[in-house]
Amino acid sequence: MSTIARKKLFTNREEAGFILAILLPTMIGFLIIRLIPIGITFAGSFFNWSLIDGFGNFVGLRNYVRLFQDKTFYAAFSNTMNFTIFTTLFSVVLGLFFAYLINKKVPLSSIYETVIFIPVVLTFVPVCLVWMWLFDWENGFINVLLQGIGLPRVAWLAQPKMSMVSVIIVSVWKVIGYNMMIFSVGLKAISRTYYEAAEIDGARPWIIFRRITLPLLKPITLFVTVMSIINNLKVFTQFYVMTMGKQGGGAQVDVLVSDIYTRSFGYFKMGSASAEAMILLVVVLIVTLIQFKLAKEEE
Amino acid sequence: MMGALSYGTKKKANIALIEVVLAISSIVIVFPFFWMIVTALKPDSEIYRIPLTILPEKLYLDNFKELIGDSKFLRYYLNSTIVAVVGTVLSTFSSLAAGFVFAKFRFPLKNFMFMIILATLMVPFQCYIIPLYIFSVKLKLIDTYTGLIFPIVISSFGIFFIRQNMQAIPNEMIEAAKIDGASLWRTFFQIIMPLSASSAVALAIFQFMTAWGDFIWPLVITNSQKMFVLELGLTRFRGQFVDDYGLMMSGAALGIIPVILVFLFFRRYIIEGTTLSGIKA
Repeated sequence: MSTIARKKLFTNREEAGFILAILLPTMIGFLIIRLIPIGITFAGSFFNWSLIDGFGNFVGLRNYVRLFQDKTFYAAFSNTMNFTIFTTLFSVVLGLFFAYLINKKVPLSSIYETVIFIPVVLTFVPVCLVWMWLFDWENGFINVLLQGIGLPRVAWLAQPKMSMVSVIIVSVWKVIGYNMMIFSVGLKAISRTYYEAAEIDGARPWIIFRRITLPLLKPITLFVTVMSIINNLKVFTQFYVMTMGKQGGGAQVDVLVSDIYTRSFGYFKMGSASAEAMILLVVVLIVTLIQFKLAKEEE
Repeated sequence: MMGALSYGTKKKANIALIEVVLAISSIVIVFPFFWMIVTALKPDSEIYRIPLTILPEKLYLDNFKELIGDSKFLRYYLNSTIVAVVGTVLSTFSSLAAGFVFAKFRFPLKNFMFMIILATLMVPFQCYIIPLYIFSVKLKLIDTYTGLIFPIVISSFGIFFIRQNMQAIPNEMIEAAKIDGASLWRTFFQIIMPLSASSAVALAIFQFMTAWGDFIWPLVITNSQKMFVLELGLTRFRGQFVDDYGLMMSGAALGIIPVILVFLFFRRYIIEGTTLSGIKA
């Protein structure tokens, strides 16, 4: 424990002044840019209001009830869930796969590691533009390649179902390196003696992986999975860039955040947008609580 | 390792297999960048020609010239830089200061305040974006740098992260400085900040990358093109009807290549900074 902490409780003016000088602006700022807005969103979800007239009528749970009857919300919710499930699944499995291979320390493995990590540091908009070109119906590299080997072209971005697949591909591609790095930290922490003992016993690599590596990586896997789920629930940029605002709009795919965005900044229905934001928050909190619970069981 | 000899050939075959899998995967992962660059360097007539040419027949630089000569495009860069640099400096500094206070002092309501900061850590930005937008409208912050920056100047994660790291600094160092007659501010700037340099750098990289890549807030807070950040400006390359892929790839390249270069130079730091949230677990 800190000795300073024990000895002094605002004993001298200098210390009190110092603490206040730092804490006051921090906490006021925190109140303004975080706490009050969260509070307003929560309160606002029970009102009918728009940008101009401030909080209008109190409507109780009606915003929530309406949302659950709303087809757009339903689509946005289920799209978000599908996106989250598949992106998390593929990115976690591939992240572990590459971390495992890189950790075998074959020649050039540090170059492979760097290459796989590069997409992580990039921002989504230019990345989506590049992939949109690869996915182009007429001249995109992927379709030209498919045709070249005698397969039919795929309408990657022309209708919602394939758009979802395309966005998942881009999102997985971008995040594999991140998951790989986290798994790498976990793999390096596993003592070599486990492996050496198993090898002396003549265990096959797959058995070693399943019986030693995987169980020892369980806490890290839980962490990576939960982080991915939470990040994926908040997805927006990829869907905005790759599916929204294009001609026809037939391929537009709504997710929770894009639906919040459209309701609030497109239609100025602040009440129902706030309710949807609270639903997103509740989903995120549920996932977080599950993680806490599982992590506790680990210990 | 002596034991390895007995597995000799089998191990070699395994290593070769791993090598091949990693090499092919790396090529697939890096291919979009390659394709972006070669497309950017081709004229339209070559981009849309079947059969495809892989490498440009001759280097065509007009797309790049058009963008670099475009004052709007340079403005996006400038805006992104201002927002990310100012946001990073402010949020890193506020995290250092608040982290120090929470790590090393005792004061009324300390645990309560810290719990509140921690509790908001999990709340997605999208859950309070509407009130932030309304504040900005009321305070006339639309289309201003202040408007772009103010939501990121205080970071719950930053305060938490710095506090964890500063708890490892021995109290004796602070007391020694006190005995030497240094004020708390001087102790903070001359002893505590240098001692926390590595965690501050990791945090700063993390904040910078987050701010640079931020999309939804700039989308909401800016209307006029001259206040667009790069992320927002780049979306304009999506045509309403037909995409001009040569120009689009040049724009994407100008957004991507500097980031890759910076990454390759500061690889270690950036990996540490980016995976920050993971490593602390």
